Amino acid sequence: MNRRSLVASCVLAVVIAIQALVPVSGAQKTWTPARTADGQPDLQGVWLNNDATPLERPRELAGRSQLTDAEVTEFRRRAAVLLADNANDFAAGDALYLAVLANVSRYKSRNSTDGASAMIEREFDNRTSLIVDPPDGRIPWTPAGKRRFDADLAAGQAVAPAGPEDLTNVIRCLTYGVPRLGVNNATGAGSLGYYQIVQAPGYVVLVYEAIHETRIIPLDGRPHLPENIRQWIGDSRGRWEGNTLVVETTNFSPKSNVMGSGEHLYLVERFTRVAADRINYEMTLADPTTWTKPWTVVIHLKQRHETIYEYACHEGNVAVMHGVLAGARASEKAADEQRQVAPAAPASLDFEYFKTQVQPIFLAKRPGHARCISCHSSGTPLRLQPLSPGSTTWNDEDSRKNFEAVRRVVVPGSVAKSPILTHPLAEQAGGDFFHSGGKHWDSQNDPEWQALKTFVVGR
Amino acid sequence: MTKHTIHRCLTGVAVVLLCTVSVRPADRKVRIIQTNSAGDNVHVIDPATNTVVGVITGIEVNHGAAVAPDGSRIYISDEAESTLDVVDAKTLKVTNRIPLSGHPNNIAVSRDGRRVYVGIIQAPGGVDVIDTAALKFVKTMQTKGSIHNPYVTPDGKFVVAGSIAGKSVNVFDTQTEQPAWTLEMDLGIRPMAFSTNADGSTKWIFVQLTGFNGFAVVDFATRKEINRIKNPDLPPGKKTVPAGSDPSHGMAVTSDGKTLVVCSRLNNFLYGYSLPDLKLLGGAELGGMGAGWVTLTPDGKTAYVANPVTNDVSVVDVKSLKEVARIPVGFVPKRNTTGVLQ
Repeated sequence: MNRRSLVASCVLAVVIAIQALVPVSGAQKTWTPARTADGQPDLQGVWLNNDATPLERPRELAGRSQLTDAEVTEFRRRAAVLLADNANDFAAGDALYLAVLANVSRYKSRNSTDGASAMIEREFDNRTSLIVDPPDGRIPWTPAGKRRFDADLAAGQAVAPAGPEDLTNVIRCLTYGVPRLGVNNATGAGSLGYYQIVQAPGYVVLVYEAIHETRIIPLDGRPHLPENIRQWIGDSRGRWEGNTLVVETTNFSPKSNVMGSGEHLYLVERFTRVAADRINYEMTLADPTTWTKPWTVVIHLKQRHETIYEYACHEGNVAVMHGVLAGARASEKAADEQRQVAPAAPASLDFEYFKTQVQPIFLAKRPGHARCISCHSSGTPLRLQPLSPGSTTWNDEDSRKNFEAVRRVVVPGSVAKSPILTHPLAEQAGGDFFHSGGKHWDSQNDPEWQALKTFVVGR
Repeated sequence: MTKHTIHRCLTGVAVVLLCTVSVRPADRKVRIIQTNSAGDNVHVIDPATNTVVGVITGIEVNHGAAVAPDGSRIYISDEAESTLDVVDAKTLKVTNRIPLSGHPNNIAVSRDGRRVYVGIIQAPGGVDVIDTAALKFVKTMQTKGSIHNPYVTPDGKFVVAGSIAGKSVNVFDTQTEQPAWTLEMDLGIRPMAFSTNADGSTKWIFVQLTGFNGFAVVDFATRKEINRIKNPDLPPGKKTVPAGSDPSHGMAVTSDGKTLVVCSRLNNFLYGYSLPDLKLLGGAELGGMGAGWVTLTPDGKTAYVANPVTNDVSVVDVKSLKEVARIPVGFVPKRNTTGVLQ
C-alpha cells in the first residue's frame, strides 16, 4: 500500500465514522433530490456558505458542542447590533462570532478595509464549531503544521513585504484555496462564500464566485494526474454514493496553503442535498505532516436565488503591486529619513532571554501574592498562554505567543514607558499608581525587576 | 474493654452529640471575611477587636465570599482555578473545589443555605447554581451579558445578577430558578444593594453604574429606574483617587433599613444616605485608598471598607461617619462579607 492509499484508507475510515456520528435530520430522511437529465441527483444552483459558526470551537466554549436556544437568540441579537453600526469594522469569517462571544460593544480590526455596512447578515445556529471531528472541535496540529499555518497568518499581516512572494496566495489573488476555509475561515464563510454548481453528463463543476475559481470534476473514474503534476486547487475526482457526491482531491501544489497543509493534503468532500434549499457539505482533511489525524468539517450550504458576479481579483493587480508594495517602499524610505535625524534605535527584544529569564518570573510564587499567570492567562489585556495541564513551563510555540503579547507592554530601551516595569512596581519605588494584580516589587533592586529591566533595555 | 475505657468513649459520644445537634448562639462568632484578589489568602476579621483572627490560605485570585447561614462553611470564588472553593469555618481549610462553567466573579448564598449562586464573568456568562448538599454544579442560569455580582434579595425570593457588558439587571425566581424579569440600563451594572417594604419584600434596588460616581434607584415592583443620585463633589483642594475600582463601587443597607452606605473610590469616601428619602447624611474620608467594597456588622453600626490601593480595610462608625481604624490585609482586597461562624 503506497502512502496515498494509506492516507486514503484512514480518511475513508474517518468519513464512515463521521457518517455514524452526524445526526440525520428529518429532511435527510424524507427528502429525495430531483434528477438531472442524465440521472444525477440534482445539486445545481447558487449556494452560500453563510454559517457564523467558527471553524474551531473557541476555548471559552471548551466542552460544549452546542449552545442553548437562548444563547443563540442572544448571539443573533448581539450580531445585529454590531452589523447595524458602520462604526464597527468588517468582521470576516470567524471574527463576527468571536466578537459576539466576547460581547464587545465595538469591533475593530487593523486588517479590515471596510465597515460593518459591507457585511451580510450571518446565520447563527446551536453549533459551536464547524469541526465535528475531533470531538473537541479543534484542529489536531502537528508542531510543524502549526508553524506553517502561523507563517501564512504572519504573511497575511506583513507590513513591509520585500516582494509579492512575501504575500499570501490570497492577497496576491492567486487562489483562495480548496477547500474554501482560509485563515480563520475568512475566505470561507459570509460574502465570499458563494458557490455555483453546474452538472453535465460525466462532470460536476464547482464555480467559486471569489475569486472566479472553477473546479471541473470528472465522474468517470479516471485516475488522478501523475504525482509530479501539481495544481493550486489539486486534482479532483468525483463519484456518486447514493445521493451524495463524493469528491477526492490530491496533487496539491507545495505552494498551496490550506490550514498549513500543501502538497500532502488529501481531501474528501461529500455533498448531500438534504432539502430543496440546503446541501450538507462535509469535508475531511488528512495530512500526517500537518495534523496528527484527519479532521472533519460540516458546512451548511443554503440555496440563494441570486446571480454570481465577476470578482475582480487577478494576479499582479494594481492594488496589490502598486498599493501594498509601493506602500512598503515608501515606509522604508520614511524610516531611513527618520533614522538620519533620530538617535540610534535601541536593541530589539531578545526572545531567548525572554524565554529563559523573563517567563519564569510569570510563574514564580511570591509569599502572599497570586502568581502573574493566575490572572494573565485570562481576562486581562496582557494575555499569556495558559499552561497545559501538568506543565511547569511553556513550549516554544506558546513562548512565542507570550513574547508577542509582552512586546505590547514594552517600549524597548525605555524603563519609564514600559508598563511591564512600572505597573507591578511600588509607586514609591518609581512604579505607577495601581496594578489590580498588586505591587510585586518594593524596590528596583529586586532581582526579578532587574531581569525585566535587562529585557527592556538590552544587555 | 475496661469500665474506664467505656466511660471515656461514652463521654466522647456525648461531646460529639452536643457539638453536632446544636451550636449555642453564644458559641457563634461574627466575622468579616475579606478576600484579596491579588493574593493567595483570605482574611478573617473579628469586628469586636478589629484584628485579623484567621487566614484562609491556598486560594489564588480569590474574588467573592459568602458564609453559609448555619455558619459551618465559607464559600470563596476562585478566579485562578475557575472553581467555587468550600472552606470549613472551624479549620479555615479548603475542603472542596467545585468546577464552574467559566471564570467567576462574585457569589451569593441562598437564605436557606441550599444554593450558592456564582456570577460567571467569562462570556457568554450567566449565574452558576451550586447545590451545597451535594457540592455539585447544578446549572447555569442564562443572563443578558456576563455577570459581575449576583445577590439574593433580603426575602430570599429572587436572585439578582448585574452585567457590566450586557448593561442588564437579571432577576431570577429562587424557587423555579427561572428568569423573572430583566431590566436593561444605559450603563454597565456594578454592585447593588436592596431596601425592603414592611412585609420584607424588596422595595428598591440600588444600582451602581460603570463610570458613574453614584447610584441609580430601581423600583422592584414596577421594574423601572426612579432616581439617580450622584455622590458629592470633592471640596476644593482634595484630590481624587485616579485608579482602583469603578468611581463608585460597593454599597450596603443597614439592618434597620434606615441607612444606605455607598463607597466612592473617586472621592475616597464612604457616604451615608438616609432611607427612604435618600438624603445625604455625610461622608467618612478614608485613610486607606481605593474604597472598592463595603460590608456591615449585623447591628448596622460599623462598616468595613476594602481599600485595594493600600491593601487594608477601613473601619467606619456609621452613625458618626468617621473612620475609626484600619486593618492591614492581603494584596488588593476585593469583596468582603459579614457572617456568623460556628
